Amino acid sequence: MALEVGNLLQAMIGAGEGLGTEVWDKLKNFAIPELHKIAVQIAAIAEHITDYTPEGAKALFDMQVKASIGVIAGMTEMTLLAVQTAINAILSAVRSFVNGAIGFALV
Amino acid sequence: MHARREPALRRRMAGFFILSFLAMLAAACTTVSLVSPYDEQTEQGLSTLYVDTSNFVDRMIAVHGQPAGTFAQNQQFYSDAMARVDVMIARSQGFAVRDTCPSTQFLSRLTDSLPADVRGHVGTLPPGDCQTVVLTALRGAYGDMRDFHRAQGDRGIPESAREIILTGGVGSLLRTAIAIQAAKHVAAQQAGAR
Repeated sequence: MALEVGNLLQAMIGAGEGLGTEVWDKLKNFAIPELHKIAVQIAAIAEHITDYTPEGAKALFDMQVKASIGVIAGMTEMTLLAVQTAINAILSAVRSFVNGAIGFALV
Repeated sequence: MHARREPALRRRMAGFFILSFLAMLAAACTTVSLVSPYDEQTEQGLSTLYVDTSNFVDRMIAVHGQPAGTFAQNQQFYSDAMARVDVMIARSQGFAVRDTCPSTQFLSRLTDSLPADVRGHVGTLPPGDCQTVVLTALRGAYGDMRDFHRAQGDRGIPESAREIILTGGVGSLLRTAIAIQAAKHVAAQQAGAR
């Protein structure tokens, strides 16, 4: 029964190494641009304030606050998804390693 | 000779224990779920709602300042949109694997320290997992859009509000909710391919 821990470690690292990149890509390509768009729209409310009633402007502002919270919560959901994917890939690597080392499907 | 065998035996024993530990780990955790699964119905519902909302805003802008552009003539849109998001919230709650969202817990602690008037704009942060928080915020944003339309009276929705609603606000939340479903769809396909 060959037990090459080094091979397992490489498989586990390989399964988990995409996590940082994926989270950063989501942050760079999704969350930051969305928060930027919201910031621009908050400025636009002030710029066009004469188009709106005071209550109307307040409602538009409240809408942008909710959007900001939603983008942050959405980014968190996608981060948790990336962590979930990485953990399951590591568990899969462990399973393959154990079954490969034993020679039959133990787990 | 007997003494030379011992290190080899120890290595084999250590290997056996590591292997047993890994086997138990893999057997105990077939897969880990930190987020609710992909929901095709929600993804399709969000896409349709995005199209309907965009069309509605453009139609309202075209008739703003006219009776056909007032809230009174168009309030049904808001009831329908909010009811459609309510169904998505119910599905999200039904499929949830967590009952909290780490970032809203953090934001909640943060807003507690803000002055009361600022805190009033943020309001009470929605409960539930992160996907449910996004959908609840979306429902709230439709409520703000309705309040805006109503508050505008005869003015209706002017051209300058288009990007504020569709690029920021409601549009941003719709894109966020769609992006979550798209990411889950890709993850589910990748997991199926492994």
